[in-house]
Amino acid sequence: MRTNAPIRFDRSRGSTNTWRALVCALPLFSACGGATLSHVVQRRMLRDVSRQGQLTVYDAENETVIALDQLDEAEDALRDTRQQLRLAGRSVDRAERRNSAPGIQLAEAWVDYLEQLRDWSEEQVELRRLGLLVARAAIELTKAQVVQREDLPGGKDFALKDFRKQHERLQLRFERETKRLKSLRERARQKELRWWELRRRVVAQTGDHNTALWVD
Amino acid sequence: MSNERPLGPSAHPERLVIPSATATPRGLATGAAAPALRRLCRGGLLALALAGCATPPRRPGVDDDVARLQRDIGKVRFALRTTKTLITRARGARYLPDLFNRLAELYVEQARYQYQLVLVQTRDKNTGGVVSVQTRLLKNQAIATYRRLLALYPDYPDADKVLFYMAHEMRELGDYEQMLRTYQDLADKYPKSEYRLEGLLVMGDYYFDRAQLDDAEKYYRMVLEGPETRVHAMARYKLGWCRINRADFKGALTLFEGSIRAAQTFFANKTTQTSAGGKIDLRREALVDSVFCYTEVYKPDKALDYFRQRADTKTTYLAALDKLGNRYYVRQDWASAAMVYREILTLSGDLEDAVEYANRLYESVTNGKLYREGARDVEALVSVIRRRYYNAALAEKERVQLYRAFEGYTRYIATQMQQLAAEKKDEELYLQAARANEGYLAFFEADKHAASIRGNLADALYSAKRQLAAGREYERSAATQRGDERKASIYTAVVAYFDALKGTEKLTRLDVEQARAGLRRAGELYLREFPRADNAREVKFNIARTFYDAGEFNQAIRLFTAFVDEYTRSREATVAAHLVLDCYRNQEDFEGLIVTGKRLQRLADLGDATFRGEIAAIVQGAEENLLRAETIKAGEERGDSEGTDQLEQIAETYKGTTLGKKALLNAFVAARNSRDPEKVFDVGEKLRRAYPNAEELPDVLSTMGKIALDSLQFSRGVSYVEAAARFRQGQAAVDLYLAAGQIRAGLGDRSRAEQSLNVLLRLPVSPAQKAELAIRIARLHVEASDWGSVVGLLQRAQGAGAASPQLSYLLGYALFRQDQLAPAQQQLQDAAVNGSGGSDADREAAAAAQLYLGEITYKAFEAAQLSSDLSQLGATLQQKLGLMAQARQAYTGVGALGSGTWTVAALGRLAAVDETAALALRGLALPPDLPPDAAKQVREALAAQAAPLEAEAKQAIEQCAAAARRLRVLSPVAQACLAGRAPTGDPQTKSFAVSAQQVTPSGSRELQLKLAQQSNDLATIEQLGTLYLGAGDPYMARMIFSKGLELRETASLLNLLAAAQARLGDAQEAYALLSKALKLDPSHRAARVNRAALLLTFGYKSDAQVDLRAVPNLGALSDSDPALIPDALRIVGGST
Repeated sequence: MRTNAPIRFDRSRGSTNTWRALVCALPLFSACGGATLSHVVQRRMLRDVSRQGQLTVYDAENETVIALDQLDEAEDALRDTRQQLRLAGRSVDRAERRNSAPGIQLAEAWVDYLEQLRDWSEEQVELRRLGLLVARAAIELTKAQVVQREDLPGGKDFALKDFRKQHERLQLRFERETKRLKSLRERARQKELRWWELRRRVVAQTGDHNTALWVD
Repeated sequence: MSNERPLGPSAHPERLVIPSATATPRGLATGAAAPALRRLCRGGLLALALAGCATPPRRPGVDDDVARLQRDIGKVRFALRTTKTLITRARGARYLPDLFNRLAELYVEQARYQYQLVLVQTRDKNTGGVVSVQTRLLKNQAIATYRRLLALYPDYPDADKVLFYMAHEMRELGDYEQMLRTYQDLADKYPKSEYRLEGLLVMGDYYFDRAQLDDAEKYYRMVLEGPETRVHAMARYKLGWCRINRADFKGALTLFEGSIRAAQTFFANKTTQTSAGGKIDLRREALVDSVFCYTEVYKPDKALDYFRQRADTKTTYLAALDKLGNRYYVRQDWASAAMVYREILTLSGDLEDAVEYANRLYESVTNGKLYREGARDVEALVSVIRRRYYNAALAEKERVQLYRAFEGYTRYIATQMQQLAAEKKDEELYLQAARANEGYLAFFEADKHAASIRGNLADALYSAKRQLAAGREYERSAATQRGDERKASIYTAVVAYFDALKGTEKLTRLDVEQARAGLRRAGELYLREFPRADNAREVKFNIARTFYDAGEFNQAIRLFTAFVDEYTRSREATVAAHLVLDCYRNQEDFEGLIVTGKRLQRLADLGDATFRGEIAAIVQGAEENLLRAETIKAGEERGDSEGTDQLEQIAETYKGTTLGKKALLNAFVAARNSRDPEKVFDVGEKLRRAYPNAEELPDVLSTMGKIALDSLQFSRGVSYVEAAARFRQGQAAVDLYLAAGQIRAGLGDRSRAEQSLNVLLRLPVSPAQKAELAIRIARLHVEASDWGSVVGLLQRAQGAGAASPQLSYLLGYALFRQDQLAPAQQQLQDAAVNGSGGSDADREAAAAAQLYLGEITYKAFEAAQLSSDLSQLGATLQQKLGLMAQARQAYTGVGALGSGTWTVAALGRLAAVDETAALALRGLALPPDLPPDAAKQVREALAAQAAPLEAEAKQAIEQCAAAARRLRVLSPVAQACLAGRAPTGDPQTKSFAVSAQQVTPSGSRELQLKLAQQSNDLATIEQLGTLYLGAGDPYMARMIFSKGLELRETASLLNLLAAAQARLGDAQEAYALLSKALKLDPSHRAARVNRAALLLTFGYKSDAQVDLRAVPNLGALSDSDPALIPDALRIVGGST
């Protein structure tokens, strides 16, 4: 999944007035690997915003906080998975040193699962970054709505539909990616199930319940 | 003879600071001798300075001291000579006594130097006492000088001082009697002198030294009787010793305490002076000397506090403790001795005597079996050995001995401490024991006994409920152990960590993490080394538990699942199973929970029936949660209906189960909320197929029907309505069937509408309701000229109780069309009678029935033939005229019922009757054998009869046309009347052929989807209806436009509905709608053209032209436009 591709501003309208330049020329560099929003509302345009308008914008900003939390969680999960993968790699080494065929087989199957899980976790982090961008697009949309609703200076110099489209496009992309990731997670689950099958088989053959689980 | 002076005159600051010849004597600085003395001073200082610069610094030796003293003596001699010279020259001078005083002092000074010189010269010769004749002589000289001064100047202001110094010199010379007299003289003559108390103190000391305690006490008391001075401390101190000598320890202790306080007060007030009271520190001396008394007076338990409070420095405190410890040690008071030595070592382990103190401490502890303070003792002993062991000056042998001794000491104490704790089973004692063991290990970790001490440490920590630390120590112990001992240690480490995690010990987050890590580490080690141990099961369970507690649910699931697999029959297996499921629940992985839960349920050996019931309940809860979560998610998805995919997936996975059904139901709800009708129908159909008996199905079908109808998919909607109706009972079913029938009828679907009616007829429905639907369907049959169906349908309806004037009329009319005149007449009469007083529709039906009653008579009238036989002609003529009269009467009766349409029709029929009668009369065939004249007479008679009929016919036509024009009736009858003709045939004959087919025009689905999301979108409704109209389904179009008009009446919609009505043959209704449309929008071109076409069709040319004039350019319109009635342009084109 690529999230660093900038979302291009539709320049077909060809307007080049000052406010447009102010609104659109400065891309908002988000925290997600350089992905930017084409349409942003400068905060100074909200200088004379009403209390209600402020509250509306604050509400929208809450979404960003949630998105950041989710990003943190995803990054934590990725870190944990990588740590588990490192440990699993050592288990393979140990099993090889012991020259234990079932041990190697089990440890490698577990590594296989964890690699799949790691891939999913990495994509999950990217997805959450995209989620953050969606939340930011929602803020920009809200700000634009507030500016126009309250007839603040500069509000007539941009089209609300651009902001709406920007948000919808990102939202759509986010949902598409979410569905794709679901299948990735399912693949990891399948690998985990395969590990369990393998383990039960090995246990049945050797009577060893400990190798590659309780020990190593 | 000693040159040391006790606290007293010799210790007087002024006395001590006066330098030999360089000092400025008090009282001399302002006298005449001052300049000379200053010169001397300068010379002396210069000499000293030069001497200091000339020689390099070197270590002073005996020779140096001698030389220095000899130089000093030389200087003093010079000063003596100078002073004597000044005395000689200062006869009668005011300062002469001062010069004498100075002279005496110089003698004393020289005596001191002489003494020191002898002392230095005999330092290394072991000659015993020091004898200096010069000293003695010089002191005598000084005394003589003092005496002469007092004799010459008895009023000398410093006489008390002179007396004091003189007495002091006498004491130095051992002339104690003179000394005592002189001090007594001083005390008597100068009671306020500052030297008096010091003199008395010296006198007391004199008697004390001679053990004359009474006398000594007398003088000490005399001191104490005076106001508090710096000598009081010494007086108390000495008096204290007097009491000791009298064995009054308590009194002595009190005096010592007073002495200490006085000395402290004195020093507190003299903070800036370094040497405040002499060469001894009374605070220290009094405190140290009070030790003996303390041990005799007080119990030892408060001893440390007592001396700590009174000692002004640590050194003083340690000095007192040293003496105290020794005292207790001598008395074999082991506890007290141990206490004191422990304190000493704790305060300072690096004292010179530390080793000795350590020995004393160990001796005291072991002799007294005092191990409660074992931790402190071990720590104190270790602090001593730590400092001493690495001393470079220590020989190796001594080092080894020291090590052995202290290792033994500390090990013994630590072990005894452990035993004591074990005996008492006291947590605090165990903690102390742990500290003792830790103290030992801090220095003797490499010792061969360290392993066992570490074991003791682990045990002590565990018993003291310091499990985390205990776990660590057990692990460390295990590192040096083998066999069963190692096994026990590792296992106990696991247990300790486990206890730490679940126990009452308050752990920090770091502690918790360390305990978990420790448990996993020790547990893994245990399982690796002792895989078949009995308690391997517990160890595994607890390892898994740490992951669960840490929130590492994936790992916990993995381990607990493996545990359940391995120990399926164990007691812990059910707990593990619950925890596995709880892990899934915590992660909100309900699918995983369900799958695992079901797998666990299948394990026959796992748990009992109760357990399986619990699991089943959990799984069920998970299913509900899964549904809830996915439903919420689906609700949050965009409105593209993809949100239901996951729910449908669940439904597919759990097909045939309650979960599957619920999933579909929730998917249905989500789809409904997404406003996507196709998704709703798709999910609804799946539910219908998979769960045909679901109790929710009727509601689902009703919802689907409503959605379909809202999106104007009438045919689909009505099928769902009917399907829902099949699940309903009573009025609910009636309402649904009724609605279904009405919609079917509206769509022109006669057969299915009749099916709905058939069902409805079996239900408990009111006659009027049954009749209403029957009529609606019968009209479709009428439009199709399917008279048999009309008759069959309405007769069934009547048989089921349906009844209304309209129904009777329709049935009568159908029977009439089938030439079943008798039953038709019966029905029509019922309609005419019952409908005349009813609603507008009933009255309309009554009017129609009345007309057709006339038609029946009219048929008879037409059928009645006049006979050519003249003999019969009269009779037949009478009969025909009678019938004509009946018909006329019937037609005339229509007008009374107030229906414009039927009145026009009746008038038309009246004209037709008259015209027919007239024609019959005029066209009568006479018998051929009738004579011409007779024939002529007959014909004239018949013509005379026909003429008024013809006139009446003409009049009726005019009236018909006028009424039609007035009421704007659009019917063939009106058309004929307007054309000046008597109408013929059935008045209800359609001018437009009904043409309808059920189609689904392309583009309709999109519009319906749009309407599903926005049902009041009038433009879309109009667009959709137009599509159907253009596709040849005016029924559907009529339904759609009617729906639109429910929202808002617009000229466009009214015109379109009119176009549909016209296609369905209802020109009158179409005209009414068009008129309404043009009232709303007179400029509506299509409506104008449509109305003009209708008017032209039915003969209203002038009215049509009015409309057409409002439409200047017809070329812009096309007959293919569904908004125009068929051939409208052709019709109006012909007109224009």
